[in-house]
Amino acid sequence: MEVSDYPKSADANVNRICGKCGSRIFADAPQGFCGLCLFKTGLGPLGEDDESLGSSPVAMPTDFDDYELLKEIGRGGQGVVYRARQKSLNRTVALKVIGGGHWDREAHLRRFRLEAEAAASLNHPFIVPIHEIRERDGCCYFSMNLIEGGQLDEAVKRQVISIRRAVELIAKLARTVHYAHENGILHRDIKPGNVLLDKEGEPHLTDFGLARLVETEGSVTRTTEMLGTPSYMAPEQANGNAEVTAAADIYGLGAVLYQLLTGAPPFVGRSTYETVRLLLETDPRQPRLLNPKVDRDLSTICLKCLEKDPQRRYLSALALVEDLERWLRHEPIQARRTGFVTRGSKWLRRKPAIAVSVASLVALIAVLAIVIWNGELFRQPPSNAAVVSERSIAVLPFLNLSDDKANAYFADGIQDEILSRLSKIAELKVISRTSTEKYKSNSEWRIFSKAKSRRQATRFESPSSLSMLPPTPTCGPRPMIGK
Amino acid sequence: MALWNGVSVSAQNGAVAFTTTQWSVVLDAQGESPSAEEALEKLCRAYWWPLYGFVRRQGYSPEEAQDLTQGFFAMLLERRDLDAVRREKGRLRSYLLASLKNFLAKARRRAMTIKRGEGRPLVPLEELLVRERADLEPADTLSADRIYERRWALTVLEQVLERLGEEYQVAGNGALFEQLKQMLTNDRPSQAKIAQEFGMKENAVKQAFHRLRQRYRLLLREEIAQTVAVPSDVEDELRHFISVLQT
Repeated sequence: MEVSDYPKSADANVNRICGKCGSRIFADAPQGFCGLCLFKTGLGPLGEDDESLGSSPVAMPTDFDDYELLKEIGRGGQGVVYRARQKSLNRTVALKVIGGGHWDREAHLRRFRLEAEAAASLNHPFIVPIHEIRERDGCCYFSMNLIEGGQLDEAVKRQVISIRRAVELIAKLARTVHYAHENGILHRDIKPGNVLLDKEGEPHLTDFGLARLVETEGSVTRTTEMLGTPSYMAPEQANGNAEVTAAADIYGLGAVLYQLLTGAPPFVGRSTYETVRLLLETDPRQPRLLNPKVDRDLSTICLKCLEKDPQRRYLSALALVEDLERWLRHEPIQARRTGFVTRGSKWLRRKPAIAVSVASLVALIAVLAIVIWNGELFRQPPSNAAVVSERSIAVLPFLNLSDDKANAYFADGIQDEILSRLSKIAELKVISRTSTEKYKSNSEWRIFSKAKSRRQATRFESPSSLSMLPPTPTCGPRPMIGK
Repeated sequence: MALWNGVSVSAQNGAVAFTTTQWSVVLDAQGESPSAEEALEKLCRAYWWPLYGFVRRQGYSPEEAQDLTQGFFAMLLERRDLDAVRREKGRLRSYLLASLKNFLAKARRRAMTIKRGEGRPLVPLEELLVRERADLEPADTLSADRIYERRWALTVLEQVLERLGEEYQVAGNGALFEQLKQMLTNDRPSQAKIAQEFGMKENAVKQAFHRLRQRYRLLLREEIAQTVAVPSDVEDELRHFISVLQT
């Protein structure tokens, strides 16, 4: 007997949306808190190993099989990275260990192993190499080369890099990513924090935390769990689309380029939820609006990587490399700027409700205008007696008689400017430009206009002089005044 | 190791060491001891809201639901029949729901007279009415079982936050708790702001929040441990609550 004399509706009782996880918070939430977030917070570790306090030299184990842990140098979604000394070979390495106390232990471990396997199979000078993958007490860890220069985002904070240097870095990274794609591996989490710079300033891609063998796609990460970093994440990743392809990495490269050019990622919200909403619903601002030093071509390249539709991005990371290198050589790029019509249609697709509203409003205004117009006519019916003699004016085309043909637009511009000024005079009817266009080729007017324009050349040297024009025509080759 | 209401819970490497809980007292004694009766009564008093929500969702009026809920508690405390617990994986949450369903089925089938709580309702009527007015949840989209599970999860959190707040109040840090607890679910207010407000160093605020979060996590596990029979169920329950609130 499940009946409902319950009067409430689901949405009516929503107090607010959680800024952290995006879930709805109802009026019965404990002390107004998001219950989901409270439970997730409760899942954290119980000991002193707490992420909020950063590294703790007291709590950190120092001995780890063949490794002596020296210092915690990084902490991310997949685990903790230590600077460590490999005792048997007496060398310093980076050791990545899966974080303890994670609730999704089995899935986490499985993903971690995949991560290590994927990275270990790659052999490229700009991919941080994996030395060995091992397990201990049910945990997984691997050792890799230690890159001393630090993460790209930290390096950029320390020292501003030039636009050219930024493009060179992204071109190298894109070529590296292309190599990984050729080997069937996606990175899926390209961000400045996963780019390490060595002492020579060369970029190295690390943390294939979300990489997976393309062949095993779906076996581990095809869940509703959203992976990746929202600010650099492709829209298809953010909305949980299982069909994540190499285009997601191209998006990531574009997002890092955007960060380097403008100082901020394409989308930054006050919360993860808001960032994802911006990512899915809005277009990034043009980089050149945020940094005027960025030229139109580079802006176009960057925005092509950040297209919402994966198919509109570069077809491959190599294609991106080639366009970046064209830009570096000052050659024309292949990418084309998105046109007004395309942008408009994309906007229509994303915001159909608003588009319909705007269209309805325009239609309403049009109907109102017609009604009002008809009303005016009704109140003042035209009659022969009431017709006031109407003064009309035509401004004939100006001709470019100079030797420089590039100045032709200036002649048209003068005619347009005069017409628009005259049209503001209520008592004057202005003959449209199309009606006078036929006189442009008339030889008689040409001769007349040549002599006339020489005499009056000084009157139209600048647009400001046009404001001095009297209501009656004194301009143009041969103004026509009639009734 | 911390001792709370006869419960011994300690944290070592993320695991909760588990000795005795109110629920395990009930189970061990099979309800045949005064301490078991008292423990069961405490648990019922704490978790009446999910049960009442389930009864209401069955279509009963508030008055009928109050009578049925109180009658269920009276029957439960009198009968002390906990054989069904084993079939419900030893969890209070599952046991109470199964028992309540059985109780309601019998009540409908036999049109039996609901036995009142002998003039001593377990849950005061005023409290029921207050909660009734505040029942602002997505009720029209949830089944009775889901309402029960959801309310159970939220009740666990309420119990924990209440206990945590009491501890801070006793220690004279109630105002600081009100600020720090906001950080359990988001980053606001900032540590810098709290530091300024309470004249503390930012690092001290960070440490204070760290301690609060650790205490919260411990109390949460303790609270859940009160309602399960074996320690390994605590983490399962946590995951279960997350899945309940996610859907």
